[in-house]
Amino acid sequence: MFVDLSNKKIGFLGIVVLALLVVTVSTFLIAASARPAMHAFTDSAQRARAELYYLVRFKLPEAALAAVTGSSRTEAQSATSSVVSARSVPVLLYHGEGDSTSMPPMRVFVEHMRALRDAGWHTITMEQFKAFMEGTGTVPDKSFLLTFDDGRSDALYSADPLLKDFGYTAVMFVITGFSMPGNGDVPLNDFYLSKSQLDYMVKSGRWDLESHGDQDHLTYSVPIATSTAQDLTLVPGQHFLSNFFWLPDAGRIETPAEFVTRVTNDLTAAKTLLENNFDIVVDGFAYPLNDLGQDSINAPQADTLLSRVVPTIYPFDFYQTWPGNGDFFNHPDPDVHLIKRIEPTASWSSSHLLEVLNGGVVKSLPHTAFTFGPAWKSNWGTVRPDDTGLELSASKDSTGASAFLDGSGTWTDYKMNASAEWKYGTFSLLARYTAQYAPYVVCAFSNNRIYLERHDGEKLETIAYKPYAPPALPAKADFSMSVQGDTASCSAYGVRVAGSVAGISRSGGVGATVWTPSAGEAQAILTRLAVESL
Amino acid sequence: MNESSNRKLLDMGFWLVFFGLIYVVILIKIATGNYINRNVFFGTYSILIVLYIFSRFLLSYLHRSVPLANDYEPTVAFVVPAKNEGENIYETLRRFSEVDYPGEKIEVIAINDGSTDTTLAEMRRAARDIAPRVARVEVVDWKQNRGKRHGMHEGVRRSRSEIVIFIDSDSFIEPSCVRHLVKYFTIPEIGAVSGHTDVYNHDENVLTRMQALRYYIAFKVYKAAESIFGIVTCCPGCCSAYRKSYLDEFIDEWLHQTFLGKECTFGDDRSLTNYVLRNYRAAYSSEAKAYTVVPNNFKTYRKQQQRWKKSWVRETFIAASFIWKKDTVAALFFYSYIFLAFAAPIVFVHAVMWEPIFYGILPIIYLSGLFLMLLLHGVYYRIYTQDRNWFPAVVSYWFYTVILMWQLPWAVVTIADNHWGTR
Repeated sequence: MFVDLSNKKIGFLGIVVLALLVVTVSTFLIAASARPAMHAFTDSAQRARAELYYLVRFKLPEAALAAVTGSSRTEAQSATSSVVSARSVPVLLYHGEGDSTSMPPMRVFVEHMRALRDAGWHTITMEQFKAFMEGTGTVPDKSFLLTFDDGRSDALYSADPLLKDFGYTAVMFVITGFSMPGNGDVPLNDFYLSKSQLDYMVKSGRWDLESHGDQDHLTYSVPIATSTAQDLTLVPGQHFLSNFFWLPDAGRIETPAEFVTRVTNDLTAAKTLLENNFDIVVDGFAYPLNDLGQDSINAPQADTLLSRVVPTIYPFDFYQTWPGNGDFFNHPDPDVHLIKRIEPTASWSSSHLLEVLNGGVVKSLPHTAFTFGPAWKSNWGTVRPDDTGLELSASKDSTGASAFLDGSGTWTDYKMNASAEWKYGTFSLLARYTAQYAPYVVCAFSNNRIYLERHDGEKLETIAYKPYAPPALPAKADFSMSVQGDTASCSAYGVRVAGSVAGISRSGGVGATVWTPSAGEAQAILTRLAVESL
Repeated sequence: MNESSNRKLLDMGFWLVFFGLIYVVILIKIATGNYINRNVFFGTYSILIVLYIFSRFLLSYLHRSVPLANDYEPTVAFVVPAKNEGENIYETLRRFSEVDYPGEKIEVIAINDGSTDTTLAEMRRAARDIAPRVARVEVVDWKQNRGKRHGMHEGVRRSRSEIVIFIDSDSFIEPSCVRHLVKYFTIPEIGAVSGHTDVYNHDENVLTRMQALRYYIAFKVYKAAESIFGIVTCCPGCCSAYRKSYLDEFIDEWLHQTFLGKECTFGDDRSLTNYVLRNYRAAYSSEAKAYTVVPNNFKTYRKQQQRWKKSWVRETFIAASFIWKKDTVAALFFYSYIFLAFAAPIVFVHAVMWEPIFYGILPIIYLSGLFLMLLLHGVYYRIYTQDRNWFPAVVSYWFYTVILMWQLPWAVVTIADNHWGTR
């Protein structure tokens, strides 16, 4: 209504806008041309800031506390360090600065590392780990491999000062497609480590760079299995490694051979980029999104294909498991390429982390327990290990409870004698347990029969059973179970059931379960467990 | 070099600073641009606030003034409701006789709204002194206080003129003010015109100096930007003119305006403008100059601002229901501003408390961004007013912005409370 669009005003505005545009654009052009120099500067500024932060926030308070309490860490450390070699090694996974809900923030990470260091744990390098796994080298007791995923720059800045301080080393699984897209110097964004930062890490001697793939951390739209050129349905948000892609030019789904080629190209590209840029050897690959082929919507054979392809490119492929899902430590075996990792979350206290790691240490036979510690990991229902026994009870909405003894996964042929306060439900002993979804042997003691069973995920197969006469419940009861080669047997109250367990892993740990058909009722307390080798 | 070329050089320097600030703000916005991907709400706010403020300066620059119409001289009535203004009222009324306008076309109506001081006597003295030079002076004396809205209503009712000019009892007008107000009424659609009011006591302390900056920008930039569309959302009581024939259509309804079941007792000017805007338009005349006395202590200032915020909430809520029909572009700006006003406290808490406490991120970008924006206003003010004390005004503006931001949510909470804070 009262607008003046005279040439004079519009002209002046035009000049101003043009001038601002020119000045702004040239600012960014100048900044871009000065980027390498700026990067070198900001990188070192960031490092200095991170070191200062670590010093002020963590190092000085610790030193002050030590001075006040008069305790000396080095004594404790030398007291616990030993010349004993480790029989198995855990791998820990972190990502970078997290929040208090899932991934640990720096404060928690530092607490975790301090607790480990004070308890005598120490890191090993990827080279040491490789030699250990292949059986060509040994590492001291309480060794662990510290790993980080995704190549995040905040991981460098929150962990590097600590590594320096503790004399620790770590492995960084780099997403080359994000950190150096097209082999470029500039990462996708500042969230990811740049080439110059990666170079610094390698030269520092504190970091090993390994592969987290090139483009396979992204998600893609993939066709459903029945798709044709006429009837194409694409599902977004799917994983690179576990699905067959749509080939728009050919108008069809890719063949298994084409899938293998695509995966091979990506994995090789990531390895080559890292090896050529930093003059290193890359032996490890961590599955992006922890997908080993299982998260497929159109390629049920993806996991088989991957397990065939990946080891041809990388000697070691890393995946995530969790305490309770069988042993999570890695045992030396030249035939093993799949490496287990666990990810401590923000809610893990440092004492819980220590319990988890100490529980996972390989246990020797004979193993006799009257008291039950945190090495007993729950994977179902309510499990309470304490000084008097291992309480197993169904929770409000579970029909039973189950626990596994961490660190028993290497046991092969053994006999178990168990005593329990048997209160209600079928009581079972577990043997040759390796993981929740791998087959294992079960002796189930019901109120009238003894069953020898093979469990495989949700599948249950009765191998043999016999009637027997246990006392009326509740009662103190004794059970035994043995596994030797391909045979297993269960016995109690004078009755013995035996059968073949061929096809189940020759080594695996022990556990106990209690179960009823309805929820919230089953309960038993394992009061004694003695395991001896056969 | 003489003084005037010195001044020109200094102005050039300030203009460079002005555009330099715009440049710096644009740089910051681009450099922190990935923020918008992380959180849509805060990202939108961050972009929108800058676009909104830049748009104010741009639109005000494009504001076109109407030329003086010397053959158009309608009769005008000055309506001055006052309570306990014994100190200022004489000067306020006296100035009406000195305006550059034919005396026989001027009517003065002063309403003494139950004053307990010398206001009535001062009114009568002023009436005597100016009577020979104007067509008609009327002093209405109410023994009981009825409120400003009743006073304004009474003035309109008693006036016989074509244009009613409301002047606050603590405001003074320049002689040229009337012609610059009146010239806009040559356009039939125009129902109200806001004059330009500066702070009379700006040199008193840093608070009044800060208000001088706020007043100047609020009129010269923000009202001018609204005026482009003929949708000035508030023609303030300190100095605004209304077309009487339009007022007559709704003045009685306005007197008994209710909101949430209660009769409205404050925010009379914004409310009256809103009534005008429903069917007509409102403009801003930057040449129609007046001066007003502002609160010189924080308590009074805070209460005044709280009252204004409440009426802002009420009248914005009302205007939001019809403004989209008047002009799409103006409505977009209007609704954007509502979003910004309500988002500001949330953004503040997020930047100054949430992020530092939970993520250890200091609010450096936020506070410096806020300061840069206010500095932009300050430099503009410095160039046009030549006020050498502009910088402390900017700093205290920054300080008060943070404090007064909380008045809006508080105003929403207490909207039903009708008490008149300063009286």
